[in-house]
Amino acid sequence: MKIACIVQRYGDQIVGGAELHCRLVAERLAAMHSVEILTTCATDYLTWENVLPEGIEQVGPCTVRRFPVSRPRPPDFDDLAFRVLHSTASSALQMEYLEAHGPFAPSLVEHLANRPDIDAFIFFSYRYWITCNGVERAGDRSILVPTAEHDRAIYLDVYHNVFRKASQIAFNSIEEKELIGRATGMTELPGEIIGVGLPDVPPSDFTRLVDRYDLDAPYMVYIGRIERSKGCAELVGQYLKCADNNHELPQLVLIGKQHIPIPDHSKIRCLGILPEDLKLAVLQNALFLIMPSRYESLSMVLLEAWRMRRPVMVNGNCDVLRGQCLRSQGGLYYRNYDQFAEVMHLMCRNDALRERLGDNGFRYYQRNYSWDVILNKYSILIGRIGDRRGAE
Amino acid sequence: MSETEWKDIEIGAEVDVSQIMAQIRKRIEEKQKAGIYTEEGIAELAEARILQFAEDAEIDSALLERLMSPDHSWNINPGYVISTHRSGIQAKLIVCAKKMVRPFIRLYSDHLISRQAQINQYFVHLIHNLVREITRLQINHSNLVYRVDRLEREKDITERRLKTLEQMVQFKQTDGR
Repeated sequence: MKIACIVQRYGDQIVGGAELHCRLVAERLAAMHSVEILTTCATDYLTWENVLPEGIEQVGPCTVRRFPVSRPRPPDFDDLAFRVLHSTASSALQMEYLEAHGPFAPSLVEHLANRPDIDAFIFFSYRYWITCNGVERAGDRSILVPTAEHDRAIYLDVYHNVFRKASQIAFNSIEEKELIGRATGMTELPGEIIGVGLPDVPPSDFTRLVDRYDLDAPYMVYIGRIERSKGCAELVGQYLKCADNNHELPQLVLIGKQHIPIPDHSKIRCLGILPEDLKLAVLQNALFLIMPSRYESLSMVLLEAWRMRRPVMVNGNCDVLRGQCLRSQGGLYYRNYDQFAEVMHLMCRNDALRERLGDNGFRYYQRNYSWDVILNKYSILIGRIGDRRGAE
Repeated sequence: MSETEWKDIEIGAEVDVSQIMAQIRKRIEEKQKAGIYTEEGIAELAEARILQFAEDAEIDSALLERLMSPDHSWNINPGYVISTHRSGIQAKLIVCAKKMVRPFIRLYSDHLISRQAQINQYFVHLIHNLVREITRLQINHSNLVYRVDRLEREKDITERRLKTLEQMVQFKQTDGR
């Protein structure tokens, strides 16, 4: 079968949840189908500046076809976004917001109409202009991977059409499906709860890292962008408060690009961006992973921890993370500082609990997120599209 | 936190996350019932009260969310996006005209709006802190009432014991005669 994946940016060096999600799925599907990527020439999601050359190139097992972005993101976008997201915006203003949000690449959307040879178009992330217009153009051949988080955008009318028009939806979690149902008022949403598997990267030799990163003492680890919206400022504040009351508290290790200032403290270590194998080695030797974000549609790093039998401690105000912990029995959650302090101390002190949570997480990962399971579910969605088209 | 404080969290052979979380919540509740609140616990209680006041006042939920956020996005701001609900050439003309007029209006309005924004910020800060302080005082007050009650009960018991002892002494003296 011929499959096209549509995503806002694509490439080995592109960092982003939906982009990585797309690359992982596309590369695995390419082993069974002919897979083409339709994307833009942009690498920066804030400006959508055309950086990569227009046209066709081969990236791994997939053919990538890039289209130029016709209009960059306007400089006053943040003001417009604030107005639209914090008030009852008119349809016209919402449309203006969607176009400004971008990437505005009409040639990509036009291209979809010229591809009768494609059996299924898989769109990644609902919130982009190319997805909203592309799903409409692809019609009954469309599969949407929403990667929806519980933010204000999901409640905008301008996005509801994309969920109505998508032929099938590949949800990341049951909570994501419920959120979309609540936000759009749709009781019947076609599709499956799928998520995504993980890349096969063996962790590096940890003993080589101990001296280099001063990791000889026990530690907990956070992996991801170190920014306010990911809950990192709150995490650091809560951790320091805990550390004041307990001098034996293990170190907090942060891995990722730092966007906010982190206090200079003997127990907090920022390792910056690490190569995948080093990152995994640090995770494998951590007491547990901590995930303070309130807005997640899946959290691949959580799956990464469970794949390594590491337990997790998550922000319970995020429905998806709390739901994943309850379903997997692979981690504990907190919703306020008091719970944070109690859970932190329990996780740090109880070796048997950590081991059992880690084992449960591993079993949950294997049951739900191994590639066999994921690809089988994608095959079901693609098969449904074929059946529907055949019936017509 | 001492080792002994963790004795009551039971973890069986099969981990039950819901049960562990329920035990953690119960421990926190018990501490709070005994008047042991952390600063964050007081802040959360105060925030819940502010939300309750706002709900009673039927404030728009979007505005309320902005009022509660750590940034000052709720405040008035002289900068704004110029747009129109119209479309086509008419929209472009209107937006262009508004953009031309705006600098002259802002020459007079920016100073006033900026001052009002600072006053708003001050009042919001003041009110949030007042609610927090009142919450803290009420908790302290409850603790003190509880302690006074306990002391009164202890005093009553001590007085009764004293009376009994006095009676016993009197009885023994009478008996001795």
